[in-house]
Amino acid sequence: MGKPILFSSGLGKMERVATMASMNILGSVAEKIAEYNTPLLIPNYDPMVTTVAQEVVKESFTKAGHPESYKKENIYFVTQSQFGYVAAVDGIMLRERPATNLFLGTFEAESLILAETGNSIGALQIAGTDSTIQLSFFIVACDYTLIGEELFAASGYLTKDPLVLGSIKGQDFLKLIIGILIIAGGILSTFGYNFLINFLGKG
Amino acid sequence: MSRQIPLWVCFGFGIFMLAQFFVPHPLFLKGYQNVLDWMQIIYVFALLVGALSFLLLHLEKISKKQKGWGYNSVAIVGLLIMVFFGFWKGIQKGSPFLWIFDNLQVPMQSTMFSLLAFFVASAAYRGFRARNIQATILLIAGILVILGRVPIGEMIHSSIPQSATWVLNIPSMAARRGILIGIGLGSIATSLRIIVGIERTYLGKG
Repeated sequence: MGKPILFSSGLGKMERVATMASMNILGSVAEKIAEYNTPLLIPNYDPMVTTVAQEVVKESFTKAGHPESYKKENIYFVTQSQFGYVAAVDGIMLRERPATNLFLGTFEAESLILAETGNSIGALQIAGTDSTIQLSFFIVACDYTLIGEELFAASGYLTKDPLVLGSIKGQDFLKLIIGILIIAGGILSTFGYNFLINFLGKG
Repeated sequence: MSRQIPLWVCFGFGIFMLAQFFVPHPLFLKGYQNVLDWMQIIYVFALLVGALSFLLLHLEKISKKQKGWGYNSVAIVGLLIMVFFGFWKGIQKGSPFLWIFDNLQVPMQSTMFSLLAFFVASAAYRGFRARNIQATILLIAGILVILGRVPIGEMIHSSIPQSATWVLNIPSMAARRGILIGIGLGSIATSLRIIVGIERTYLGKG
């Protein structure tokens, strides 16, 4: 008890959808953390993400009724060097020994270094990214992994906002339609009818 | 008002960026270029804010003599030395700035990157343990792909490289494309939620 929680949004800048989704999740996570009066550490790769994260966490702590627990100095810009960032976050993990690591956002080659270091200190790890290559690393090294679109849907499930949940439902219906079209296209193409593939394949 | 203005700015620019992708009119192209230029300008100022907060954070830790304050001093000295040499002698070939970068920063980055090889081994060991049916399938597929990518695989049996290619091109690709379709739809849905102002947590205004 009382151990900090580490949150990393990875190497993404603010214009990336995965970073936006990460910030949305951070809002709900920070609110829960504020209720338990636990330190939240957020080392950042991008200065603009740092500013947004500070605002999101401040608002969440206020919403949870604990504005006094908000510590701006725990959300800071580290470096724009990919492996410099990894070295810094690994160092924080080994020194501060966080109970939980949240890796949500855009990750590249550093994903496994971060996740394995977190694993070595025995932290509970939750990861989520839109990079299909890094997902495999997170799956083997983390306790829970949000696969692709789950990262985008997570904030909706956490906030329980009916508008956000509605858009996720719409997304699921679209996926169903795409699935039906893929199966129909496969069957039709097998029997030599290519009109559906030709229609949808027009670039 | 402080909540409404950012939402309207986000809506306006979001719709514009969406429209310019489909409208190849010179006016839209010019507007798009202007937005990209402004992004660069804003980013430079954000970087200044980042560097300033970096300095203040480390200075505070040094002044309070917090645990590990020596490392904070190294970070600040490193930053100041690079800024000093950058302004004094420039960043061209043969400058002290580039010498420090090539002989300190690059080897340190390579050292961190090389850790990946050991972490891949430890992660693969955990991931490939045959604990249940799924993990056993993963183990078999992993061994097949590893053997299929090295010459010894073909020496063992000529069909191993083809089997490895089949695993990568058919089941693995099918799963990856499924995830990619989900990511594409999720990105579109999240972008739309942000543009129309349904999702506004990132503003820090709830």
